[in-house]
Amino acid sequence: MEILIVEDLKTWFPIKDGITQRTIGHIKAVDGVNLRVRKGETYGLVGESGCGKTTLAKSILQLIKPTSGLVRFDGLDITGIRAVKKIRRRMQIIFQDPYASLDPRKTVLSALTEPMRVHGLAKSHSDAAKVASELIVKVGLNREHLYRYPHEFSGGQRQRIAIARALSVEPEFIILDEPTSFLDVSVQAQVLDLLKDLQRELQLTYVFVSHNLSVVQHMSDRVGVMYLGKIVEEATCDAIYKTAEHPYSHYLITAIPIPDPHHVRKEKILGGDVPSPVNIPSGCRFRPRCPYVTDKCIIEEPRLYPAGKLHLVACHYKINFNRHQMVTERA
Amino acid sequence: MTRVQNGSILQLKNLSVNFRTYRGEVRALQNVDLEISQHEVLALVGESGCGKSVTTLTILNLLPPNGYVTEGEILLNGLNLFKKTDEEMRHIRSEEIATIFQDPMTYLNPVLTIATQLKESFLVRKDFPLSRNQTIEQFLATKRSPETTKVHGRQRADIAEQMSVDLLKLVRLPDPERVMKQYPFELSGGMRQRCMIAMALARRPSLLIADEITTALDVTIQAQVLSLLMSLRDTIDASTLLITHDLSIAAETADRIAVMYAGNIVEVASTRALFRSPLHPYTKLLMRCIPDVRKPKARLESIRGNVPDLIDPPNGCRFNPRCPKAMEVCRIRKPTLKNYGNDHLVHCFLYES
Amino acid sequence: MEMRARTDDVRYALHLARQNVLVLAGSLLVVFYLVISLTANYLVEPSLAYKFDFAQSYCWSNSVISWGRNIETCPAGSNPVLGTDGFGRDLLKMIVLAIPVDISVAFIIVATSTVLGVVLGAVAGEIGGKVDELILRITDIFLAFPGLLLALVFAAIFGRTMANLIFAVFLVWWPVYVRLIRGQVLSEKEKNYVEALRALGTGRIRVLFNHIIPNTIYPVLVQSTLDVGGVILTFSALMFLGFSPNPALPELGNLAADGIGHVFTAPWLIVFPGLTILAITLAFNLIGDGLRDILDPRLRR
Repeated sequence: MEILIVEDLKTWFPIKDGITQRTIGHIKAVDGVNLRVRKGETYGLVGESGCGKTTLAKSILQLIKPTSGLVRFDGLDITGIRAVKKIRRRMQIIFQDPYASLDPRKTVLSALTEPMRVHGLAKSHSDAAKVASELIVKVGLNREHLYRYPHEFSGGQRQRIAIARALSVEPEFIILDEPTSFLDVSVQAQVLDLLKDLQRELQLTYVFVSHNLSVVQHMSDRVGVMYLGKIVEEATCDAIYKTAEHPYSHYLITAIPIPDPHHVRKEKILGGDVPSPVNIPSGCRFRPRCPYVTDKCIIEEPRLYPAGKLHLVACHYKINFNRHQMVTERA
Repeated sequence: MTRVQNGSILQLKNLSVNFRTYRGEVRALQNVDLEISQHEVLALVGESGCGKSVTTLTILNLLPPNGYVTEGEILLNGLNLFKKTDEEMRHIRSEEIATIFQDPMTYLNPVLTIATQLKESFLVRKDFPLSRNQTIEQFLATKRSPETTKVHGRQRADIAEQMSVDLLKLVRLPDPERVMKQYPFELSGGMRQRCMIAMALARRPSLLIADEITTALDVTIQAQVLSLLMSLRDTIDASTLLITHDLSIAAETADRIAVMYAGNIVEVASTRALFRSPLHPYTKLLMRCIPDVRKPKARLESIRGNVPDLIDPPNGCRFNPRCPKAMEVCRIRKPTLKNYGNDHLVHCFLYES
Repeated sequence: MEMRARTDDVRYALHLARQNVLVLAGSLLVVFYLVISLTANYLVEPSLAYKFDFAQSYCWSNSVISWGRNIETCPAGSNPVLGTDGFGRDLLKMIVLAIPVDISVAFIIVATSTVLGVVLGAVAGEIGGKVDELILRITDIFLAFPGLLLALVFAAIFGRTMANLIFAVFLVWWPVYVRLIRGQVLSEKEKNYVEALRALGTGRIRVLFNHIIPNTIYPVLVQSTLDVGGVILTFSALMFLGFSPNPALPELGNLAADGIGHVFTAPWLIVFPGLTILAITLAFNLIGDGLRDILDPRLRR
């Protein structure tokens, strides 16, 4: 059952000329994304800076108003909806920076109970406090921690508090926006495993946004690779990491440093810079950096071609990366 | 230390650094011993709060006012840095040690063009020798060879301009003439980082310190920058101290790795030896925590507990509360350095017979 | 950049106080003045303000300071420590009675300006758009007037009662806070935790008053403390210029006004009230600076 359906979502930010305030262009942060997430699964969204993944996450949650397109949550059209309190309960987000996502002047208890009060989920203050202490234990902290302030906790602990806070409204769907990128690798696993356990226990659906491919690999069932505002490849986790078909995905994965001094990188490294979403190239957006570019790539923007079970690729060609040659043109 | 001492560019001996805060004394570095040989890339690996940045600042004598060295010494090419005056230290920072930091946006002057900043690195001392008809590779390699003919005034500026363009080409910046005229904000993160590398190289340092230089970069750009650093190894006559929290980066780029935890060096070994047989329990656990994209695991490992508060660190070995192999003695005394063979050094009671 | 919790604030404050003598001095002085304000009516009989004895006006009998030749000595039997004023009242006693007047006036004005300024500024920053424009324009209009002049005009039109004068100075004072907090709110709005609260479904008003304002109030607190001195200066200047509701009112500016016509014969009338104004302003300035050091997260550590 598909809990989230995103159709041709676009979020463009107008660029205004300084004095006249005319719109002279757009930052096309999200430029036509289609997504379907099934209940209980984890969809990993991968990409580098400027690809639009965070904007996409916030657009889905209506924290940023999309410019066009459709977002359907559990059958309900929530695109551009204004009075979103009911939806806010069911869809939550965990942010990247544990040092900034909690109000520094409020105790943990206050942070956990306020959402409950806002949504009328607790009948009295002591009820709310009881739920809060259950939640704090569930995320691996102690009851005494309820009376402390955020700055007294480490990054990993703060993320747990943020998770507890998100859970306080009993959501069904959580977007995790780089939840461990500010955490040390030795602590990362604690938070990730906690998230996995909670998903199983509470039947949550996740969209896991990250630029860290190893982490995404660990958490996701399916993965979408984003580049310049569009998803350029989507497949099951295994398929992406073992048999990525889009050149960008391929280079992204081979760029990850391997913890093995004997490993010799066979691949060439992708040249060029991460592009900005202001001037999007014609045809295939990846063509300025793609070593396999042809004339067709310059003229025609590739749609998402099927490339196997649950596997979609936005590339006109099937490429053999080992031999560094194009194999066939996709239909 | 049993390593051969001559040929060492940098030696940290028994270095301890504290910070005075209103909550108490933070014992940031404790009895740190470190050594970098000529032409070597040493990676200093550790997680947040372990003291790696403090180490950089101490070497450069750029500790904040409330930080101070309580014991130990730092030798650069055999010279004791603590005996240097501020003026001498400034000279050293400009000519002997070059540092590249994590966030180039805050370390590049936003109101000067790249050309101005890069040429400044060349022209920084009046008697800095520059000669005509020298390629950039020759220039970078002549640190310790006899001086070439000196040039003055206008010609120096022109040569510096040409050298700057060549240097930008060397660091693989596309269209270097154009980049010269640009301001830092017009460049992307990877390009800025390359400019910083160029500026560092222009000073022909004996020691290059790279402090988390790819942490803020995207993974494809990180790969480019790391590959650049590796390719420059033969061109420049410098040793590199690479500071990172990512063991995988160290695996790819370093000759030797020193692992730090809570202000202590816990293990030092050649990269291959460290990965083949890590000795210290922290190193072992850390390696298990790193995800390897080639072999995804069902459950990622973590190290239970938290990094200790350095105002009141644990007695004995600072890792003992989290160590699965902790023994009684670990809670009482600090382990001493043991050479396990082939200069694989470790601070752990497990290896003290 | 983290904000510390209250207990840590206190510890850090004490640490700073130990380090910075001036801040300590300022705090002690402020405490001193507050104590006097609260106990003034016990130290000096309030009705003395209206007991006039023209036989001993403008006289000085304290041998510690000699003002020169034109000074009239007080008649035998009376020994005012700081001389007498035009009504024959002991100046020191009048100053003691004046201190609570000035300080309470200053507190009222600063408190009301702060509240109004903060509410308007926060609402402007949060809502943005046309509301923001409107509030900013109104604020700009008030800011454009030279403070004292606006207060004078108001008092001249609406009469010289104490309430009117307080209102006049208030009118001039609130705009500063609007801009101060509006800027803070604009930047705080962008912070992650505010977005997190929105994502949790928390309403805008609640976020504004429960979260944003408490986190951005520090510069306002510092400004208010510094402004106590400024308000006293402005208010006493008003009195000094002749806008006092009652010439016998014990108020520092008022007392000094009396001295303008007698600069050579009774200079203490300007000197001592003036010094008192100076001392109170200085005390609040010092404590304001200290407060800024404590509360500014960037200057920590």
